Amino acid sequence: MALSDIGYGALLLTLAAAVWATVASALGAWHRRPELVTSARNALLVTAALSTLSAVVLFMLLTSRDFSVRYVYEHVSTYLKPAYVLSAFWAGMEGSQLLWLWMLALFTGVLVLAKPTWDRELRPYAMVVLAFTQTFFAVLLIWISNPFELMATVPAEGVSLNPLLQNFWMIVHPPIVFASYALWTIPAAYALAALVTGKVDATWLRGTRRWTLAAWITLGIGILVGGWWAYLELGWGGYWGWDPVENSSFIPWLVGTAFVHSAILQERRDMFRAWTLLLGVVTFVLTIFATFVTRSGLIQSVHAFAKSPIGYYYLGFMLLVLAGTAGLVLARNRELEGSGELGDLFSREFVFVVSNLLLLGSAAAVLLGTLWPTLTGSDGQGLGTGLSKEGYNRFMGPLSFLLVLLVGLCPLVEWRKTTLARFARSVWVQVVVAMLIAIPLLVYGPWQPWAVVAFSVAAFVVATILLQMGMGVAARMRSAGENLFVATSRAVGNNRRRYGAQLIHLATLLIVIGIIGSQAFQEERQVALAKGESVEVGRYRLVYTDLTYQSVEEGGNKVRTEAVLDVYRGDRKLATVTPERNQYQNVQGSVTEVALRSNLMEDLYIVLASMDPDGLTAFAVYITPLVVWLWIGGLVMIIGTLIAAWPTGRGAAVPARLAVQPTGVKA
Amino acid sequence: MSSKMKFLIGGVVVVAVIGALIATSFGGSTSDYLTIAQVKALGPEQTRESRVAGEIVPDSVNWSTRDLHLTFQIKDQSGTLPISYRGPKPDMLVDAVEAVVIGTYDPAAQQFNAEELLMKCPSKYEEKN
Repeated sequence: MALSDIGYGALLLTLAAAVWATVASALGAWHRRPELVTSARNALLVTAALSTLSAVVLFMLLTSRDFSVRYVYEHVSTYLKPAYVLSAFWAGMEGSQLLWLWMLALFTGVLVLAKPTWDRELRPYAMVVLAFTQTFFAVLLIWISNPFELMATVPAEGVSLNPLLQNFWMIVHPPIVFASYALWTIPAAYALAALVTGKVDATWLRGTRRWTLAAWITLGIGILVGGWWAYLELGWGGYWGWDPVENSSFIPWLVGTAFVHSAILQERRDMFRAWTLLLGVVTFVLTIFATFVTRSGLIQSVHAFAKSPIGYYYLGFMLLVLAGTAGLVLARNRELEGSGELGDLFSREFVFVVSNLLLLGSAAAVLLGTLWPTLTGSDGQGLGTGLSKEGYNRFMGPLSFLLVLLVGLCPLVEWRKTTLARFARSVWVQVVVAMLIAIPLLVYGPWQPWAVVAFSVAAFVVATILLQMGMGVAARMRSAGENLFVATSRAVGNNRRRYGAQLIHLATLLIVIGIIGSQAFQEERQVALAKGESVEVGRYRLVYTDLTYQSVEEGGNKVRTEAVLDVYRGDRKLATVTPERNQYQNVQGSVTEVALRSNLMEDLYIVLASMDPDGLTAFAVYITPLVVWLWIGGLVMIIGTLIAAWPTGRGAAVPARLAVQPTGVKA
Repeated sequence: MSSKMKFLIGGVVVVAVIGALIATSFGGSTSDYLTIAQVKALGPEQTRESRVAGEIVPDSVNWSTRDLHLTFQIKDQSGTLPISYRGPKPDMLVDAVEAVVIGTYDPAAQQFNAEELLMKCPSKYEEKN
């Protein structure tokens, strides 16, 4: 038996086990037969093991360069560097789909291994959803996009991996994104379980909170890593292009963020039960939609994905989940009525509502922009009208500006009702800070007004967050006489959710500052230089000293050429940089590797655009201010999420009131 | 007025503002996806940018490093179109790969002046059968 047969056989058995798990958990839950539920649980452990086997087999086939398997032939070659065998695993549709199933099966396995606690009643129903989703992916892998499909004849050499994907960040980006897609299945599964059982109070939200946070941060980081890859590898000085593929992962992030906030509102005030539930399910459906967009051929994209009938299966699955959810929501209409009462408009509740609407509005607009060419196309060829990058920026700019403003206002507004006097007392310091930032920018900077406004609002919000965090620590230092370090660690330790959230908001601000800086103030210069010539860009002077045909790699497939430039500021030499342009035989094209010098203020980014045989060489030079804060913000966001999700050691579910307690009054 | 009513009205106002913002963005910043024949039929008074996709005609790529000026032709079922682009030559600009250009057509020079040039990025590189 060939190795590929083992991989395929494992998929077939995964399907059988997933089908059994779906049926057994449904019957077990419905007829209250615990032995059936136990059997379903065991079947889900089996799918975790078998899909792991299937993934290991595909990896072994790729590593051993077994070109009798089509997927191996299409994605690796004998000369491909070993590390990129991993990227090859998820470079194509079949592999990425297997990755998705595998992740989902693993997370499901982890979930069912834990003893049921709060979810004794909900878990069997959640298992139905998880097992059914696994069934869906197993069906696709077996019948539509089989990674173990064989070639008619065995070629001597493979096509190899697209050179653009040969980058460390392309090894990690897809698994992060697919892990997040798999993780979003879990809150959705519990949302549906809550609907079926009628237990639609906040219990399911508290119980799945860590899964949700894990899904949320993983998706955000996945998107950032994708941007970082595009920045490093595509040589255009940018990191985001509003391409349908990018949009399709950003849309579930926006809706997922709305869900996280709506969940807080329900936990704290017991309102908007149906709304929260729907957002959880819709986020999951949108992760499926992301794949539908990229695989259906429905959308024109610069990513040339293969057209495949797989899109219709995805569409069917999405409609099934949405229809089922809608039906259940209607059936549970009465239970979905929460006990919380709305207060004044000038209240934290309404701030939450507005932020939800802004997030969902952004998501709807990005979705509409993505589908616009299809919707306006009359001839069925996908020809119509497309939204330009500026078009996206024109709504996303103001909407995110308002969102950021709300991040700053939210802690100053109280639940139920806030008086203007109280609000004014807590807001004046930040207003002063914002003015102090805005005035010098207006006076000294030849800046666009929107950038001045954006930076001063950012300053306002950062001041609010730091004040909020600082006040809790200061209160402890005063009342308990603790030093700064002890007070900080205890304040954070006792209010993990609150401090975690504030850190996440701070991280969002850092990212926003990075976006504003890089969008508003990027300098670009394109220039052709002969050896010895130099060019001034911003405060830098670049001297082109040499061009070297550095080396031939990958058995002749890759010819690496690098230009050597000395970077000066004034008379001081800062560095020698070497942008590369590498010729790849297998794609008959060349790919640049940019030279990047990054600091907290700005990035110097040099692309070797082309070289003539006589030595004349073209460069594109970008100076992008503050862009590094995007990535720093990502790291802070991870830390904030870890703090917010860290177990308290007092049982799995964090009591909601923990987050309500005023900071640091008790020692 | 009840709280519910207040929230409803407040929510509707917010949604209306968001909707208006989105509508204006969509109004002014779109480009038309056209075929090559449609582009060539355009007159001199184009108010919006067009976006055309086509396969790069073999041996048509001409690049001047000194001027950073790129010319090439693309073709689709409806014809071929000469493209002029100023800026660095993109990665993967090779014969028979599909390019997407965004810009305006100059009927006098019978050429398309591209502001933006995108290569269809083969996320999944596939051999041509």
